[in-house]
Amino acid sequence: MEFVVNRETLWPIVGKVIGVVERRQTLPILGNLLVKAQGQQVRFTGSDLEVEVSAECAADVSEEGETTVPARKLADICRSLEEGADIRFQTKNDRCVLTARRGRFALGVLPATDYPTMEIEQGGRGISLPENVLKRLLEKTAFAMAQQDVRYYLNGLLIEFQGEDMIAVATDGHRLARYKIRPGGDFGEGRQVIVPSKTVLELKRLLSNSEEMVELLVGAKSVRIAVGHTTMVSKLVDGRYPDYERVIPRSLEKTATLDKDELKGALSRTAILSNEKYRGVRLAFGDGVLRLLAHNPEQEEAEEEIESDYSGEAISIGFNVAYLMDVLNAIDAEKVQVQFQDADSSSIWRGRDSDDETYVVMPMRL
Amino acid sequence: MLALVDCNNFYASCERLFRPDLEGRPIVVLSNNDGCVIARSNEAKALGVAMGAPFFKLEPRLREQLQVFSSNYALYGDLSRRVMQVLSGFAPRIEVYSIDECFLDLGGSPDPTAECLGIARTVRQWTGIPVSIGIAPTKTLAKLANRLAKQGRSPDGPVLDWSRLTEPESHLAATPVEDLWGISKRWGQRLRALGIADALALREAGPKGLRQQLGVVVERLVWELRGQSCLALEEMAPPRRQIRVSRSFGAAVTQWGGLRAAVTRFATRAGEKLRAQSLAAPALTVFIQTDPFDTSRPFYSNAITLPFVQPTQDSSALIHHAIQGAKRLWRHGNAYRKAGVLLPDLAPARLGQGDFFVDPGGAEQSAQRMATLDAINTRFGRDTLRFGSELVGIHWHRKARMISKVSTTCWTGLPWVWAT
Repeated sequence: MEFVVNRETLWPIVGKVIGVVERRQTLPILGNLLVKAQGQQVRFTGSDLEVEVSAECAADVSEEGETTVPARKLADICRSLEEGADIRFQTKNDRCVLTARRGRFALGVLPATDYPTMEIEQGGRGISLPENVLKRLLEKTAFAMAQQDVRYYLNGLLIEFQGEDMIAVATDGHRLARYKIRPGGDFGEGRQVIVPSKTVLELKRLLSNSEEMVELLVGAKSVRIAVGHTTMVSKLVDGRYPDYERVIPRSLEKTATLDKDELKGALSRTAILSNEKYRGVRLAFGDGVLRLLAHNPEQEEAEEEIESDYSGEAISIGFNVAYLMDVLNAIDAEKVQVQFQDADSSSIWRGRDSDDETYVVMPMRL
Repeated sequence: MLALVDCNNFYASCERLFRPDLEGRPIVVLSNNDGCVIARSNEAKALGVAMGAPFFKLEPRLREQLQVFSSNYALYGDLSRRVMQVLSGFAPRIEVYSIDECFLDLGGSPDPTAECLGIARTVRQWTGIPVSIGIAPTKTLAKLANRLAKQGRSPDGPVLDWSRLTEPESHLAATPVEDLWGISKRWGQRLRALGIADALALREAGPKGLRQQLGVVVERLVWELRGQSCLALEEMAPPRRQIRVSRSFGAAVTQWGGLRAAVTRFATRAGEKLRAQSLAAPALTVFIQTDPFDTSRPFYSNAITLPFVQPTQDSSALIHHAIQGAKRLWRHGNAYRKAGVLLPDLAPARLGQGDFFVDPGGAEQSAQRMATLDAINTRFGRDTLRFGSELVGIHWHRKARMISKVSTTCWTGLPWVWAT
């Protein structure tokens, strides 16, 4: 195998596939990238057996072939090479030799035939939607996914197809995010898949704000996503997602509208004197005003007020500041609307007039 | 002005309390499973019994002269509580530093030596435990003063006031750095590498320079030695971060049932401790190991941590995780010598983040069940009600052949007195 590629072409490609390569692997070969030169194209592939990302670029191929090279070392070399350098890849005696200007790097290789590429599932439903729409769907919801929860089905993003709606849901049991889009077309009967959290975070990283179309192919056990010259294949989480509709309260009678940035500022300031470990802040809704209160084990206290349009019975609810901040960061609107009931009930948050988003946050006993 | 009250040879003194016949006799107390010497009376020290020495390695002739006790923590704990209670009457602010040590804030006492002599006398009279007291403006110096008092260097008997020493420098020079409060052997080596071998050299060292090389802990120590208090009295014990229950087995455990019984018991005990302190555990770690000193077999030691969906105080949940974990660690054919359960990262039980998918009714039922269990065991005695898996295959209890009676907290342990 031998080809020449410019660093400015190569670096973005390697950057895209390196993310899925774990720092510590089960199989040594998973620490490598599969490199395949064919025609006038070179394809790089990284995998952790759950999710695989491959990306290709044009190159000046003088000898077709394939091999695998250590992923991190290749990435580090690429990154630190001079801008605009042409890099020659050449396999020679169990080594892949990179030469760029006056540098020469001989990397160890493992045989490409041993590289475990993921099988492509036949069938499945195809969906196409603009890249920025998919990115937004993930940004609105991914933060609420559980990480390493014993309830393994929560460690992922639920994608539900129902009639014309494509709905993303994430929850770690403490807060829930739901966002709905209509990519066009009718999906018919409801269908749910759970995409593993690593795949979701990696995909979010890959997507840009362009309006290019992204092709999704949702199978029974895997999902395939094609974005330009990059393809991602991921296994799905084999499990049943809990009935999330049950978690979204239906009959919350009290409502307040708040300025998002004011609330964010007040939260981040009062949180300084909250318990460092639990980060609890009390939100006391009173007539025309929301008071934020926090205290810590050293008996230090913080208190701040912001304007609110609430009127009625005084209600005070404890929250984990981090959960509220995540929600506020996901909301685009300048005003947020919160629906609540009492200190023990979940509350619903969303941007004003943004019916496509729903955030549910469970209170915290303080 | 601060005072450090330290009970003299505490465990040995406790053992002697109900055995006046042992006055003047050499006493040693052994660690769990009667392994090593962990306390010595002055007489035993005079015979040359070293702290931490494995008992079986002592000369047989020496062993015969000693009065030996297995450790009896129920007794020591209760007597410690009594000592601390007496001390709390003497100062508005105290810090119970360990089972046998306590810092007192003497405020601006006009005659601290006289006051402390009174304290020592009262503690002796009311509890029967002899104490030594060191007085100084800082904790570090109080600790040093206490040591000197124990060595009999004070003109005032059991009490030594640092400020009344005529030549404090000579005492500092005679104190190796490793003997200072908070200086471990490793830190001592690093200090010695800088040419600082004794407390006087440390006091004279530049605090800022030391901070750069060894950190703020050592800098604080320098200021403390100079009489500037940097370590405040901690009146409230900080809430526990973790609970650990582990035991060495008297006889090696080779059957799964034995290990299951052991970890059940550890988890039960950990659950009782959790509830007594109103804490909840987000996860449970279980660990097991074979005998590290047995060179005839490969050493095996392993641990596993299993998280709970919600922090819990429920013994049955703890036991379930402990058994599941132990099952995964178990390797057939090994002879296990030690096991334990650790609850890390504890949080107050009343605080808490709710979870959508956990039924709050279940938590309430669990709380009621545990309250009932604890109430029965408090009223009718520990272990009246137990979890079944604890009772199957037990032969692992600790060795304690020479244990004394718990004379202060248990009716059956009351000492007998014959009058003739």
